[in-house]
Amino acid sequence: MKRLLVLAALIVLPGCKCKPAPVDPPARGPQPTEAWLKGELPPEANQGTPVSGGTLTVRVPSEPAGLNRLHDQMIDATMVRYLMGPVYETLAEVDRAALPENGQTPLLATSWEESADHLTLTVHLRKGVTFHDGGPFTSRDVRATVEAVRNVKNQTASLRSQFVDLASLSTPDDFTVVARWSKPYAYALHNFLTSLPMMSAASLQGDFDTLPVNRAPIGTGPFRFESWETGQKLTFVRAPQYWGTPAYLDRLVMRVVKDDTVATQLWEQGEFDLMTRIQPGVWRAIEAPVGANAWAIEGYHRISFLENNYSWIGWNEERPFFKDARVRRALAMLYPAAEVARHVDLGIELPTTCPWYRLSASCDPSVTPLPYDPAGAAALLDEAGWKVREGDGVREKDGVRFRFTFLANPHSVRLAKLVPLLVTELKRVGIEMDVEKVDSAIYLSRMRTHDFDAASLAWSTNEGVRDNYQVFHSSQRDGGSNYVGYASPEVDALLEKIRLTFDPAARVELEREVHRKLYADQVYLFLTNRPALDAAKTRVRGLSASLAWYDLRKVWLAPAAGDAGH
Amino acid sequence: MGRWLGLRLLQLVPTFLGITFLTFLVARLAPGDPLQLDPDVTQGVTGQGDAQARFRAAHGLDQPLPVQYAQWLGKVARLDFGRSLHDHRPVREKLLEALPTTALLAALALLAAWAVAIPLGVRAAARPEKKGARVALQALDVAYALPAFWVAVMALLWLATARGLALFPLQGLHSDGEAGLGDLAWHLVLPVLCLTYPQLAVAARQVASAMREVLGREFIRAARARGVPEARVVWRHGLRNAALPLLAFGGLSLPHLVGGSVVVERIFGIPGMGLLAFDAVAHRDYPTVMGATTLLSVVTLLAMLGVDLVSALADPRLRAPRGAK
Repeated sequence: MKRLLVLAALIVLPGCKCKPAPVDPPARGPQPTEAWLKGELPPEANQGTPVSGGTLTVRVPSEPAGLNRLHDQMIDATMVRYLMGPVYETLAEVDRAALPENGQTPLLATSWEESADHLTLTVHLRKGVTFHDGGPFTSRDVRATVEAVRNVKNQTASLRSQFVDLASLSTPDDFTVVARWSKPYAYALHNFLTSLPMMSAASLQGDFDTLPVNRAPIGTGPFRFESWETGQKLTFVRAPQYWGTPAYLDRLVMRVVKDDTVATQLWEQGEFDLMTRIQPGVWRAIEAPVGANAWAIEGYHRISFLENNYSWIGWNEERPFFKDARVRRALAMLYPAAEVARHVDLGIELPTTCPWYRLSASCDPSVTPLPYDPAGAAALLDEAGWKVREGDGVREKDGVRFRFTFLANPHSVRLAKLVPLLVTELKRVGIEMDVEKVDSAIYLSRMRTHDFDAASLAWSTNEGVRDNYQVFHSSQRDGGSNYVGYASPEVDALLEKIRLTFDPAARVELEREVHRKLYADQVYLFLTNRPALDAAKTRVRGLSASLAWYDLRKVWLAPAAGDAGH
Repeated sequence: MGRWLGLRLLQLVPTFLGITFLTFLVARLAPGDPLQLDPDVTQGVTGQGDAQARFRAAHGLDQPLPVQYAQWLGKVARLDFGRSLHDHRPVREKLLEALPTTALLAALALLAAWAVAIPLGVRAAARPEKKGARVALQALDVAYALPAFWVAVMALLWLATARGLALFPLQGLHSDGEAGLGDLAWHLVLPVLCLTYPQLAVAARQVASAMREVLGREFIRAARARGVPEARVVWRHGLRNAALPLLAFGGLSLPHLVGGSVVVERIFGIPGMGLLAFDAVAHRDYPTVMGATTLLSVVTLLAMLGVDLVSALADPRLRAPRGAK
């Protein structure tokens, strides 16, 4: 009963420190293995002879507005993961073995050639592929998909921006596609081959916002859409006409459970074969080797892998106090990273200084994070001309008081815990930070229009590489994602050069230079990388976690003997 | 009577216009945009402002507000609520999807509330000297003060989780692959309970006060004097005469049938009208906000009209328009 109360307190008081619940008297239970604690799949999870059959139920934390991966309003990171590959296929797919490097393995294309000037790409399509509705896949479908993206009347801006330099697309025959670019771009081939889900020309006929495939997708993949119960679940079944190796699972069920607390309860009852987005507090709580955790320690493999994301605090560089890089460095030295890691992140998130994927070569390992050093920060602020004023102790320069507002998204539990710590630290050196909470609808509009002093966000992508042009190039202040208004001629030149550098090794050198410069300039207060925290029933096999998520086409279920408990 | 009804129906029109126009204004003047793209989606996008402008133009959001309201009204007259700005489905379809669930939950809660409130209220009024009913009424007051989100979470933890008693399911309205009535009823217990308990205190007090008033009247004393058994006095003579104010009160809770509850729906994972409206506001999905408001205001207005109508049928004095007595 006492455990129940502790659990209840955890849920009712979202502001609690969510440490593992103190256990009374330590009733020893099963001891988790090293691999389980680290979130690594043990070797046996990927061994054995795959068998066909069964249903895999996956917890998904969000429900997309629709299932059209081209539509801006419908794209959602989770939906892209379960739709792309299992249901929709691209011409080539990201080579999971090569991650995080760019690599492509053929899928709906069998081969391709790029001209020496990188301006022409010829793609040869696979023959004998049919859509789930029975129609054949040909170059007409590739053309229709590209045209749907390129049509400015369609809400496809996010993919369209990858194809602005596509000059023409021709289809000499049913199984050949030739794309011509007006100027070279290092990621053009990768984007063209791996980001576009091939949709049938027939399914793209009509008003783009209300296409039937927005609710019931028709792809070429090993799973076809079966049903969508709004707010409840999406179901996909094995497609009989699939051209390649058939999937093992009969059925994929994506159970939509938005509330993390409820999801945890359902997980404990054994409702999910694959539980995703486990809350850090829960992740830590189930580590205690007690009987009450036996269900998790014995029944599940924990899986933790690094996604390509990083969180940051941005200082609007239009504001007088944030113009000077010395001030931004001082702010980084005031950030209580160790305290946040211990009390807020429970040691799960990894501190970062880099806007690229942690495990890629693009981050320069020689960049050392600024230490937490309030005295050094105060000295830097003095040097930058922000002197403590007699009387109220608030810093001031040229008659401007160092007082600003942190724009906070109220949905972030992490920020709610982190911001008060920062307020205290800043106050100690004579900086006043107020907090303004606004809802998500307003938050992003205000960031986009630079109507904020300081704010926090996380960038994430399912790709191993990212072109940071739209985030840090000075031209992207208006209309792009350079919300903080960063402008550095050197970084601009480097970002432009990266886009024209086709040799990966040379590109890495440039990216490292950008990393060094961005950190020296403290374009953001770089916070952390958040790893994925998932768990799968021990009978789920073939789950190799990578940056590209799990490959559901290769997942199978071991015969149910080991699953008697649930 | 027909004339009276016609007049009352006419009076509903300006009220309806007032409600919907105010909602329209409040929704539209609140800051925020209906096109809210995930920052990750727009991360690689140049010219994000153009996308916003195109979206506004494509959905007529760039026109003057009175024009937009007039257009909306024109469509609603043809029962067309437009399309959601979030998922682009017809708003009518979304409303029809959420409505049956909400109506079922609310109707059961309403019935349950009255099933408890009537005997309790009657007893409290008929036997004021007995402690039992009075204590029960006070207990209901305490229950009334408990916040629904807390009660719902506690109910889940204690009655539905593996660490609690695990008597009831955690989520949704039916188990996988089950469509039976028993399964549905089992899923309904906790959400209906959470919707019922806050109504109990008010309903029971209403019953008690209506009964107290009736039981003090002369015809009751006359009935008792005639030697009519007490149970018959209370339950037949008393309750029947208290029915009118209770019906009026009950009629005014009908809008719950289409209003839904954000808290209960969210915690029990039931997609109903409350969540639909809540999400629509969060997404600045104006057509859906307007659709849900329209439905709610129409039901409220009709419920009020119905209450008046029932009262008028029971009391001829009310039938005459004001001043024409």
